[in-house]
Amino acid sequence: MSNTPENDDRAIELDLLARITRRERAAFEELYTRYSNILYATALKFLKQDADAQDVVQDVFIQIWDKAKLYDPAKGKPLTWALTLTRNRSIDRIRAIQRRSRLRDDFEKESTVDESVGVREALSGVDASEKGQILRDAVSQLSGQQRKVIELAFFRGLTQSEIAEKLGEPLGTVKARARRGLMKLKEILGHQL
Amino acid sequence: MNREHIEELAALDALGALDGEDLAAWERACSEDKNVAQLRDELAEVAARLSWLAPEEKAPDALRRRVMDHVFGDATKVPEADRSFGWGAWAAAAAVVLLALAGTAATTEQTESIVVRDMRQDPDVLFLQLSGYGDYAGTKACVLWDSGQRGWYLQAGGLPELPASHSYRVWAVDAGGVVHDCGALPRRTGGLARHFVQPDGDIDSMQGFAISIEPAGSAPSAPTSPAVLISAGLRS
Repeated sequence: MSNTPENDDRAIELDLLARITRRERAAFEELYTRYSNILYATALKFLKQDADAQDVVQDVFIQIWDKAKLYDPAKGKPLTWALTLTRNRSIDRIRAIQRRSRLRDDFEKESTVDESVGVREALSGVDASEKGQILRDAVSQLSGQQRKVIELAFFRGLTQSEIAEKLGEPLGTVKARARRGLMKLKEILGHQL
Repeated sequence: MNREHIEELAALDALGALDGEDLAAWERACSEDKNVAQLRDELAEVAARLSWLAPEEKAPDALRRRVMDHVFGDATKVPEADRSFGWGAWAAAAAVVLLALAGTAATTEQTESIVVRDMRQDPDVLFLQLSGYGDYAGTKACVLWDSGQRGWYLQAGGLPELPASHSYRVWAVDAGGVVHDCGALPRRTGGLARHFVQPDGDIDSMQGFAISIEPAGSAPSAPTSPAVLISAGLRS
């Protein structure tokens, strides 16, 4: 493993997680300091509401505190694990909100709002961070159709079948676009991972 | 399963979009082939990086306090409300014959606002949050609870409209596990509901509050349906 800043971060964060499993408060607070902004930003991007984003991030950190021993280093970096937890909890909340919206016969309005966010919004965002810029550059190299599938899946939480139905495309087409899009990102971001 | 199919499933899995038979087939493939599992992990890293598209945001300072309070029990006000009271205990408590708060009555809005203002400034007043479950995830409510028995105030936001046949009903659980019916939440527009109660009965200390959905006009002695919002102290 080369001695890059990302690898240094990973080693530090692995140590923090190990100490968290031993219930070391200082380690948890350090991990909070490292992750809270990106997890909050991620949750806020999904949910749009500060209160909802805060709830999700709180739940994620509680899960990290309670379940750090379940983290498997072989399956990815600690940050990836935390981001995945944040995304999954955000999607769960979006789905719950959408179910409620349907109960209120307000789904059409929410769907309209949904269309205005996601990858396209991120591509035109004002985030000046280097990592954000790298991602936007990478995503901008995908076709519009590939971006759309990734947007609906990753940021809206739709399944492949739901995407196919929403776009009026065959399931096989959706699968192919997802594959090409993500493999392209893997190729572009390869050295960054 | 050819390479292209594997990549499709890996991509969709990383995006959280797999469903149906593909999901089961993918889990089998990952458990049987290390190379497939490796591709899954690599694409999961790629997908997680999509989070960097989110505009930079600083997490609110209050969030740090909330998290640390919850994990380490830092808050001086939280422990009373945070005593463990699981769903089993909730169910048991719900079965108890309740002490109806016969004297509960909503005040006028003017009086209400003055009392609430005073409560907010009182260091002995607990501030409790209720969180929604299931279809109510994302719905929030808060309670200002005056342990000096002057009463409590509840405000809930984002409550879905209910059909006229049902209403939201508030329950308080005291330190002894006794459930108190605190009446129906009055309807307000925009999903906002506020409720002010001054109980006659003695309630030494409060474990928490919950809101359930009950038939309108009924006066149940215990919740007849699972709570849709509940405070941290009542969660297991």
